[in-house]
Amino acid sequence: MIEAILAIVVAASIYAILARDLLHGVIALSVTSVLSASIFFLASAPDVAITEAAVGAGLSTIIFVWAIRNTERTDRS
Amino acid sequence: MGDTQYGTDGPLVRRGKLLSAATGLAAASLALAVLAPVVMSDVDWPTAARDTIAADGYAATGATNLVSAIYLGYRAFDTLGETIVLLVALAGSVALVASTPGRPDLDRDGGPADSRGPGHTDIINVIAGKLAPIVLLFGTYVMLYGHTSPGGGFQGGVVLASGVIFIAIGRRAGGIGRISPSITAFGPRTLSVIEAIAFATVLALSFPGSGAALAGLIEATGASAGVAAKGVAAVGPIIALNIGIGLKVGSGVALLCVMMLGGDQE
Amino acid sequence: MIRRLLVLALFGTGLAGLVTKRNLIKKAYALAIMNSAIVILFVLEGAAIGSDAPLLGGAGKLFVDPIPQALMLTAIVVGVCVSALALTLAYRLYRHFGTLDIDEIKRRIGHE
Repeated sequence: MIEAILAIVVAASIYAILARDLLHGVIALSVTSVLSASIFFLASAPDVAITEAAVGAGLSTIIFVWAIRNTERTDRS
Repeated sequence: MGDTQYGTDGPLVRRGKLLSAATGLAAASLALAVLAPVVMSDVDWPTAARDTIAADGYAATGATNLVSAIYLGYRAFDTLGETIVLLVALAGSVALVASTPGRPDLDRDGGPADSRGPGHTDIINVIAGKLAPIVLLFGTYVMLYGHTSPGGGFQGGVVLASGVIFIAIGRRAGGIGRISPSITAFGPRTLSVIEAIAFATVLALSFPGSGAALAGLIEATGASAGVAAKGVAAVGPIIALNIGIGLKVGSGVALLCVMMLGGDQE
Repeated sequence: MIRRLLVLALFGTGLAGLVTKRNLIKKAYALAIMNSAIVILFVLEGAAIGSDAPLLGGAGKLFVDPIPQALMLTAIVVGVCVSALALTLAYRLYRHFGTLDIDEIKRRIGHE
Protein backbone atom coordinates (compact mmCIF):
# COMPACT_ATOMS: atom_id res chain seq x y z
CA MET A 1 0.00 0.00 0.00
CA ILE A 2 2.68 2.48 1.08
CA GLU A 3 4.84 1.45 -1.88
CA ALA A 4 1.99 2.13 -4.34
CA ILE A 5 1.32 5.59 -2.88
CA LEU A 6 5.05 6.33 -2.86
CA ALA A 7 5.26 5.38 -6.55
CA ILE A 8 2.50 7.90 -7.36
CA VAL A 9 4.35 10.52 -5.29
CA VAL A 10 7.50 9.92 -7.35
CA ALA A 11 5.57 10.14 -10.63
CA ALA A 12 3.84 13.35 -9.61
CA SER A 13 7.15 14.88 -8.53
CA ILE A 14 8.75 14.05 -11.86
CA TYR A 15 5.80 15.65 -13.59
CA ALA A 16 6.14 18.73 -11.38
CA ILE A 17 9.79 19.10 -12.39
CA LEU A 18 9.15 18.53 -16.11
CA ALA A 19 5.87 20.41 -16.64
CA ARG A 20 6.21 23.48 -18.83
CA ASP A 21 3.23 25.11 -17.16
CA LEU A 22 4.37 25.98 -13.64
CA LEU A 23 0.80 26.04 -12.35
CA HIS A 24 0.41 22.36 -13.32
CA GLY A 25 3.58 21.74 -11.36
CA VAL A 26 2.09 23.35 -8.25
CA ILE A 27 -0.99 21.14 -8.49
CA ALA A 28 1.24 18.06 -8.84
CA LEU A 29 3.24 19.18 -5.80
CA SER A 30 0.14 19.55 -3.65
CA VAL A 31 -0.98 16.09 -4.82
CA THR A 32 2.35 14.72 -3.61
CA SER A 33 1.83 16.47 -0.26
CA VAL A 34 -1.61 15.00 0.29
CA LEU A 35 -0.37 11.54 -0.68
CA SER A 36 2.65 11.97 1.64
CA ALA A 37 0.24 12.81 4.45
CA SER A 38 -1.58 9.53 3.84
CA ILE A 39 1.75 7.68 3.85
CA PHE A 40 2.56 9.25 7.23
CA PHE A 41 -0.83 8.21 8.56
CA LEU A 42 -0.29 4.63 7.39
CA ALA A 43 3.17 4.68 8.99
CA SER A 44 1.56 5.55 12.37
CA ALA A 45 2.77 9.14 12.38
CA PRO A 46 -0.45 11.15 12.86
CA ASP A 47 1.39 14.26 14.06
CA VAL A 48 3.47 14.47 10.92
CA ALA A 49 0.40 13.70 8.81
CA ILE A 50 -1.57 16.66 10.21
CA THR A 51 1.35 19.00 9.63
CA GLU A 52 2.05 17.78 6.10
CA ALA A 53 -1.62 18.00 5.11
CA ALA A 54 -2.00 21.55 6.39
CA VAL A 55 1.35 22.75 5.04
CA GLY A 56 1.42 20.95 1.71
CA ALA A 57 -2.15 21.28 0.60
CA GLY A 58 -2.71 24.77 1.96
CA LEU A 59 0.18 27.02 2.80
CA SER A 60 2.92 26.05 0.37
CA THR A 61 0.41 25.97 -2.50
CA ILE A 62 -0.59 29.55 -1.71
CA ILE A 63 3.05 30.65 -1.60
CA PHE A 64 3.90 28.94 -4.91
CA VAL A 65 0.79 30.29 -6.64
CA TRP A 66 1.64 33.78 -5.37
CA ALA A 67 5.12 33.50 -6.84
CA ILE A 68 3.81 32.27 -10.20
CA ARG A 69 1.11 34.92 -10.40
CA ASN A 70 3.65 37.63 -9.79
CA THR A 71 6.27 36.35 -12.21
CA GLU A 72 5.49 34.15 -15.18
CA ARG A 73 3.58 30.97 -15.67
CA THR A 74 5.59 29.08 -18.26
CA ASP A 75 9.04 27.61 -17.89
CA ARG A 76 10.75 28.88 -21.04
CA SER A 77 13.94 26.89 -20.69
CA MET B 1 24.99 39.32 -28.68
CA GLY B 2 23.88 37.47 -25.59
CA ASP B 3 21.26 35.39 -27.42
CA THR B 4 23.65 33.86 -29.95
CA GLN B 5 25.34 31.87 -27.23
CA TYR B 6 22.49 29.38 -27.18
CA GLY B 7 21.49 29.59 -30.84
CA THR B 8 24.63 28.43 -32.60
CA ASP B 9 26.93 25.60 -31.77
CA GLY B 10 30.32 27.27 -31.90
CA PRO B 11 33.39 25.38 -30.68
CA LEU B 12 33.27 27.29 -27.41
CA VAL B 13 29.66 26.31 -26.83
CA ARG B 14 30.33 22.69 -27.74
CA ARG B 15 33.21 22.58 -25.28
CA GLY B 16 30.94 24.11 -22.66
CA LYS B 17 28.31 21.45 -23.28
CA LEU B 18 30.88 18.69 -23.01
CA LEU B 19 32.16 20.21 -19.81
CA SER B 20 28.69 20.46 -18.29
CA ALA B 21 27.95 16.86 -19.27
CA ALA B 22 31.13 15.73 -17.52
CA THR B 23 30.29 17.84 -14.47
CA GLY B 24 26.82 16.37 -14.39
CA LEU B 25 28.17 12.84 -14.55
CA ALA B 26 30.62 13.59 -11.75
CA ALA B 27 27.88 15.13 -9.62
CA ALA B 28 25.56 12.18 -10.22
CA SER B 29 28.19 9.61 -9.23
CA LEU B 30 29.07 11.66 -6.17
CA ALA B 31 25.41 11.82 -5.14
CA LEU B 32 25.08 8.07 -5.72
CA ALA B 33 28.16 7.41 -3.61
CA VAL B 34 26.60 9.37 -0.77
CA LEU B 35 23.08 7.98 -1.11
CA ALA B 36 23.76 4.33 -1.94
CA PRO B 37 24.86 3.39 1.60
CA VAL B 38 21.58 4.80 2.91
CA VAL B 39 19.58 2.57 0.59
CA MET B 40 21.70 -0.55 0.96
CA SER B 41 22.19 -0.32 4.72
CA ASP B 42 21.10 -3.47 6.53
CA VAL B 43 21.48 -2.03 10.02
CA ASP B 44 18.23 -2.34 11.91
CA TRP B 45 16.69 0.80 13.33
CA PRO B 46 17.69 0.98 17.01
CA THR B 47 14.90 0.38 19.51
CA ALA B 48 16.70 1.56 22.65
CA ALA B 49 15.55 5.19 22.46
CA ARG B 50 11.96 4.18 21.72
CA ASP B 51 11.92 1.79 24.70
CA THR B 52 13.39 4.37 27.07
CA ILE B 53 10.96 7.06 26.06
CA ALA B 54 7.96 4.74 26.12
CA ALA B 55 8.90 3.69 29.65
CA ASP B 56 9.96 7.04 31.13
CA GLY B 57 8.35 9.66 28.90
CA TYR B 58 5.18 10.11 30.89
CA ALA B 59 6.94 10.27 34.24
CA ALA B 60 9.52 12.73 32.92
CA THR B 61 7.27 15.14 31.01
CA GLY B 62 3.64 14.35 31.85
CA ALA B 63 2.68 14.11 28.18
CA THR B 64 1.09 10.93 26.82
CA ASN B 65 1.81 11.97 23.24
CA LEU B 66 5.42 10.88 23.01
CA VAL B 67 6.15 13.13 20.04
CA SER B 68 5.20 16.16 22.13
CA ALA B 69 7.16 14.73 25.05
CA ILE B 70 10.26 14.70 22.86
CA TYR B 71 10.13 18.00 21.08
CA LEU B 72 8.82 20.04 24.00
CA GLY B 73 10.24 18.04 26.88
CA TYR B 74 13.47 16.27 26.10
CA ARG B 75 14.50 18.50 23.21
CA ALA B 76 12.88 21.84 24.04
CA PHE B 77 16.04 23.83 23.29
CA ASP B 78 16.25 22.23 19.88
CA THR B 79 12.68 23.36 19.28
CA LEU B 80 13.64 26.87 20.39
CA GLY B 81 16.38 26.81 17.75
CA GLU B 82 13.90 25.66 15.10
CA THR B 83 11.58 28.47 16.14
CA ILE B 84 14.38 30.98 15.65
CA VAL B 85 15.15 29.54 12.19
CA LEU B 86 11.47 29.89 11.40
CA LEU B 87 11.40 33.47 12.67
CA VAL B 88 14.41 34.47 10.59
CA ALA B 89 13.12 32.84 7.39
CA LEU B 90 9.67 34.39 7.80
CA ALA B 91 11.07 37.79 8.72
CA GLY B 92 13.23 37.70 5.60
CA SER B 93 10.31 36.75 3.38
CA VAL B 94 7.97 39.33 4.89
CA ALA B 95 10.60 42.04 4.58
CA LEU B 96 11.23 41.15 0.92
CA VAL B 97 7.51 41.07 0.10
CA ALA B 98 6.88 44.35 1.91
CA SER B 99 9.87 46.24 0.56
CA THR B 100 9.46 45.32 -3.10
CA PRO B 101 7.94 48.31 -4.86
CA GLY B 102 4.33 47.99 -6.00
CA ARG B 103 3.53 45.76 -8.92
CA PRO B 104 2.80 47.73 -12.05
CA ASP B 105 0.85 44.88 -13.64
CA LEU B 106 -1.48 44.35 -10.71
CA ASP B 107 -3.58 47.23 -9.53
CA ARG B 108 -4.27 47.04 -5.80
CA ASP B 109 -7.80 48.40 -6.04
CA GLY B 110 -9.34 46.74 -9.02
CA GLY B 111 -6.79 44.41 -10.53
CA PRO B 112 -6.53 40.63 -10.42
CA ALA B 113 -5.29 40.87 -6.86
CA ASP B 114 -8.78 41.91 -5.84
CA SER B 115 -11.85 39.79 -5.48
CA ARG B 116 -12.75 39.59 -9.15
CA GLY B 117 -9.60 37.99 -10.41
CA PRO B 118 -9.59 34.97 -12.70
CA GLY B 119 -10.29 31.81 -10.81
CA HIS B 120 -12.53 33.56 -8.36
CA THR B 121 -15.71 31.49 -8.20
CA ASP B 122 -18.85 31.28 -6.13
CA ILE B 123 -17.55 28.05 -4.62
CA ILE B 124 -14.67 29.90 -2.97
CA ASN B 125 -17.12 32.63 -1.96
CA VAL B 126 -19.43 30.24 -0.18
CA ILE B 127 -16.92 27.81 1.27
CA ALA B 128 -14.02 29.97 2.46
CA GLY B 129 -15.93 32.17 4.88
CA LYS B 130 -17.98 29.38 6.36
CA LEU B 131 -15.09 26.96 6.70
CA ALA B 132 -12.83 29.44 8.46
CA PRO B 133 -14.36 29.21 11.98
CA ILE B 134 -14.39 25.41 11.80
CA VAL B 135 -10.76 25.27 10.74
CA LEU B 136 -9.77 27.77 13.44
CA LEU B 137 -11.61 25.73 16.07
CA PHE B 138 -9.94 22.54 14.91
CA GLY B 139 -6.54 24.24 14.91
CA THR B 140 -7.08 25.49 18.46
CA TYR B 141 -8.04 21.99 19.58
CA VAL B 142 -5.02 20.45 17.89
CA MET B 143 -2.80 23.08 19.50
CA LEU B 144 -4.19 22.79 23.05
CA TYR B 145 -4.42 19.02 23.27
CA GLY B 146 -1.04 18.25 21.80
CA HIS B 147 0.10 16.59 25.02
CA THR B 148 -2.51 13.81 24.95
CA SER B 149 -3.53 13.40 21.32
CA PRO B 150 -1.86 13.86 17.94
CA GLY B 151 -1.12 17.53 17.65
CA GLY B 152 0.83 20.31 19.27
CA GLY B 153 2.29 23.68 18.53
CA PHE B 154 3.62 23.17 15.03
CA GLN B 155 0.66 21.09 13.86
CA GLY B 156 -1.97 23.36 15.39
CA GLY B 157 -0.10 26.43 14.21
CA VAL B 158 -0.22 25.50 10.55
CA VAL B 159 -3.91 24.56 10.82
CA LEU B 160 -4.60 27.94 12.48
CA ALA B 161 -2.72 29.63 9.66
CA SER B 162 -4.96 27.86 7.13
CA GLY B 163 -8.01 29.17 9.01
CA VAL B 164 -6.70 32.74 8.94
CA ILE B 165 -6.05 32.36 5.21
CA PHE B 166 -9.64 31.22 4.71
CA ILE B 167 -10.73 34.41 6.45
CA ALA B 168 -8.44 36.45 4.21
CA ILE B 169 -9.87 34.80 1.10
CA GLY B 170 -13.38 35.23 2.45
CA ARG B 171 -12.68 38.89 3.13
CA ARG B 172 -11.70 39.49 -0.44
CA ALA B 173 -14.62 37.48 -1.71
CA GLY B 174 -17.24 39.06 0.52
CA GLY B 175 -17.80 36.19 2.98
CA ILE B 176 -16.80 36.99 6.52
CA GLY B 177 -14.97 39.68 4.74
CA ARG B 178 -17.88 42.06 4.87
CA ILE B 179 -16.34 43.05 8.16
CA SER B 180 -14.16 45.96 7.15
CA PRO B 181 -10.40 45.31 7.22
CA SER B 182 -9.88 47.77 10.06
CA ILE B 183 -12.21 45.86 12.38
CA THR B 184 -11.22 42.33 11.61
CA ALA B 185 -8.79 40.82 14.08
CA PHE B 186 -6.76 39.05 11.45
CA GLY B 187 -4.97 41.87 9.68
CA PRO B 188 -1.19 41.89 9.16
CA ARG B 189 -0.58 44.26 12.06
CA THR B 190 -2.50 42.15 14.56
CA LEU B 191 -0.78 39.02 13.29
CA SER B 192 2.68 40.49 13.70
CA VAL B 193 1.88 41.63 17.25
CA ILE B 194 0.61 38.14 18.10
CA GLU B 195 3.75 36.62 16.61
CA ALA B 196 6.03 38.89 18.64
CA ILE B 197 4.20 38.18 21.90
CA ALA B 198 4.15 34.43 21.26
CA PHE B 199 7.86 34.35 20.45
CA ALA B 200 8.64 36.30 23.63
CA THR B 201 6.57 33.74 25.55
CA VAL B 202 8.50 30.83 24.06
CA LEU B 203 11.78 32.58 24.87
CA ALA B 204 10.69 33.27 28.44
CA LEU B 205 9.65 29.65 28.89
CA SER B 206 13.07 28.42 27.83
CA PHE B 207 14.88 30.12 30.70
CA PRO B 208 16.05 27.57 33.25
CA GLY B 209 13.57 27.14 36.04
CA SER B 210 10.68 28.83 34.29
CA GLY B 211 9.00 25.51 33.56
CA ALA B 212 9.22 24.39 37.18
CA ALA B 213 7.99 27.81 38.29
CA LEU B 214 5.00 27.55 35.96
CA ALA B 215 4.18 24.05 37.23
CA GLY B 216 4.38 25.33 40.82
CA LEU B 217 2.14 28.28 39.94
CA ILE B 218 -0.47 25.99 38.39
CA GLU B 219 -0.35 23.72 41.42
CA ALA B 220 -0.71 26.64 43.83
CA THR B 221 -3.59 28.15 41.84
CA GLY B 222 -5.31 24.80 41.69
CA ALA B 223 -4.83 24.26 45.43
CA SER B 224 -6.19 27.69 46.35
CA ALA B 225 -9.19 27.18 44.10
CA GLY B 226 -9.80 23.79 45.66
CA VAL B 227 -9.27 21.99 42.37
CA ALA B 228 -6.91 19.07 42.16
CA ALA B 229 -4.56 20.17 39.41
CA LYS B 230 -2.64 16.93 39.53
CA GLY B 231 -1.35 15.95 36.14
CA VAL B 232 -2.04 19.38 34.68
CA ALA B 233 0.75 20.90 36.76
CA ALA B 234 3.36 18.46 35.49
CA VAL B 235 2.39 18.96 31.86
CA GLY B 236 1.79 22.72 32.25
CA PRO B 237 5.07 23.83 30.65
CA ILE B 238 4.35 21.63 27.62
CA ILE B 239 0.87 23.10 27.19
CA ALA B 240 2.27 26.62 27.55
CA LEU B 241 5.00 25.90 24.99
CA ASN B 242 2.40 24.38 22.67
CA ILE B 243 0.29 27.53 22.84
CA GLY B 244 3.31 29.77 22.39
CA ILE B 245 4.70 27.86 19.42
CA GLY B 246 1.24 27.38 17.90
CA LEU B 247 0.47 31.10 17.97
CA LYS B 248 3.98 31.92 16.75
CA VAL B 249 3.89 29.52 13.81
CA GLY B 250 0.24 30.24 13.00
CA SER B 251 0.51 34.02 13.02
CA GLY B 252 3.89 34.02 11.29
CA VAL B 253 2.92 31.82 8.37
CA ALA B 254 -0.51 33.44 8.14
CA LEU B 255 1.09 36.90 8.09
CA LEU B 256 3.25 35.97 5.13
CA CYS B 257 0.35 34.37 3.24
CA VAL B 258 -2.05 37.24 3.97
CA MET B 259 0.54 39.72 2.69
CA MET B 260 1.03 37.58 -0.42
CA LEU B 261 -2.72 37.43 -0.98
CA GLY B 262 -2.70 41.20 -1.05
CA GLY B 263 -4.70 41.63 2.12
CA ASP B 264 -2.43 44.35 3.43
CA GLN B 265 -4.74 47.28 2.85
CA GLU B 266 -4.70 48.25 6.52
CA MET C 1 13.99 -2.05 0.11
CA ILE C 2 11.42 -1.01 -2.49
CA ARG C 3 10.46 1.87 -0.23
CA ARG C 4 14.05 3.02 0.06
CA LEU C 5 14.55 2.82 -3.69
CA LEU C 6 11.40 4.88 -4.26
CA VAL C 7 12.54 7.46 -1.73
CA LEU C 8 15.91 7.52 -3.48
CA ALA C 9 14.11 8.10 -6.78
CA LEU C 10 12.18 10.96 -5.16
CA PHE C 11 15.36 12.53 -3.80
CA GLY C 12 17.09 12.01 -7.12
CA THR C 13 14.23 13.73 -8.93
CA GLY C 14 14.65 16.71 -6.66
CA LEU C 15 18.42 16.78 -7.00
CA ALA C 16 18.31 16.45 -10.78
CA GLY C 17 15.70 19.20 -11.00
CA LEU C 18 17.76 21.46 -8.76
CA VAL C 19 20.87 20.97 -10.88
CA THR C 20 19.46 20.90 -14.41
CA LYS C 21 16.47 23.26 -14.40
CA ARG C 22 17.28 26.89 -15.07
CA ASN C 23 13.94 28.30 -13.93
CA LEU C 24 14.18 29.60 -10.36
CA ILE C 25 10.67 28.51 -9.42
CA LYS C 26 11.45 25.02 -10.70
CA LYS C 27 14.47 25.05 -8.41
CA ALA C 28 12.17 25.88 -5.50
CA TYR C 29 9.97 22.91 -6.50
CA ALA C 30 13.06 20.72 -6.48
CA LEU C 31 14.00 21.88 -2.98
CA ALA C 32 10.50 21.08 -1.74
CA ILE C 33 10.67 17.61 -3.30
CA MET C 34 14.04 16.87 -1.72
CA ASN C 35 12.69 18.03 1.63
CA SER C 36 9.69 15.74 1.43
CA ALA C 37 11.90 12.81 0.34
CA ILE C 38 13.96 13.19 3.52
CA VAL C 39 10.83 13.47 5.66
CA ILE C 40 9.33 10.32 4.12
CA LEU C 41 12.61 8.42 4.57
CA PHE C 42 12.88 9.24 8.27
CA VAL C 43 9.23 8.52 9.06
CA LEU C 44 9.20 5.21 7.19
CA GLU C 45 12.47 4.03 8.72
CA GLY C 46 11.32 4.96 12.21
CA ALA C 47 8.05 3.10 11.60
CA ALA C 48 9.92 -0.13 10.88
CA ILE C 49 10.24 -1.09 14.55
CA GLY C 50 6.60 -0.88 15.57
CA SER C 51 3.00 -0.71 14.50
CA ASP C 52 1.25 1.76 16.82
CA ALA C 53 1.26 5.54 16.90
CA PRO C 54 3.35 6.83 19.83
CA LEU C 55 0.42 7.71 22.09
CA LEU C 56 0.51 6.19 25.57
CA GLY C 57 -2.56 4.46 26.91
CA GLY C 58 -3.68 0.88 26.57
CA ALA C 59 -1.39 -2.02 27.16
CA GLY C 60 0.64 -4.21 24.86
CA LYS C 61 1.30 -1.61 22.20
CA LEU C 62 4.39 -1.74 20.06
CA PHE C 63 5.18 1.88 19.30
CA VAL C 64 6.98 3.25 16.29
CA ASP C 65 10.02 5.38 17.07
CA PRO C 66 8.75 8.86 18.04
CA ILE C 67 12.12 10.61 17.69
CA PRO C 68 12.23 10.87 13.87
CA GLN C 69 8.62 12.03 13.93
CA ALA C 70 9.46 14.84 16.34
CA LEU C 71 12.39 15.88 14.17
CA MET C 72 10.48 15.74 10.88
CA LEU C 73 7.63 17.78 12.32
CA THR C 74 9.86 20.81 12.64
CA ALA C 75 11.56 19.96 9.34
CA ILE C 76 8.27 20.28 7.45
CA VAL C 77 7.44 23.66 8.97
CA VAL C 78 10.95 24.99 8.44
CA GLY C 79 10.83 23.60 4.88
CA VAL C 80 7.79 25.63 3.93
CA CYS C 81 9.47 28.76 5.28
CA VAL C 82 12.58 27.99 3.24
CA SER C 83 10.37 27.64 0.16
CA ALA C 84 8.77 30.97 0.97
CA LEU C 85 12.15 32.67 1.33
CA ALA C 86 13.44 31.12 -1.89
CA LEU C 87 10.35 32.23 -3.81
CA THR C 88 10.41 35.78 -2.49
CA LEU C 89 14.07 36.00 -3.50
CA ALA C 90 13.16 34.66 -6.96
CA TYR C 91 10.36 37.23 -7.15
CA ARG C 92 12.79 40.00 -6.24
CA LEU C 93 15.20 38.85 -8.97
CA TYR C 94 12.34 38.68 -11.47
CA ARG C 95 11.30 42.22 -10.62
CA HIS C 96 14.84 43.42 -11.22
CA PHE C 97 15.83 41.40 -14.29
CA GLY C 98 12.49 40.48 -15.85
CA THR C 99 13.35 36.80 -16.14
CA LEU C 100 13.45 33.67 -13.99
CA ASP C 101 16.23 32.03 -16.04
CA ILE C 102 19.28 31.72 -13.80
CA ASP C 103 21.77 31.76 -16.69
CA GLU C 104 20.18 34.88 -18.13
CA ILE C 105 20.30 36.57 -14.72
CA LYS C 106 23.95 35.62 -14.30
CA ARG C 107 24.79 37.03 -17.73
CA ARG C 108 23.04 40.30 -16.97
CA ILE C 109 24.78 40.65 -13.63
CA GLY C 110 28.05 40.24 -15.54
CA HIS C 111 27.06 43.01 -17.96
CA GLU C 112 26.03 45.50 -15.32
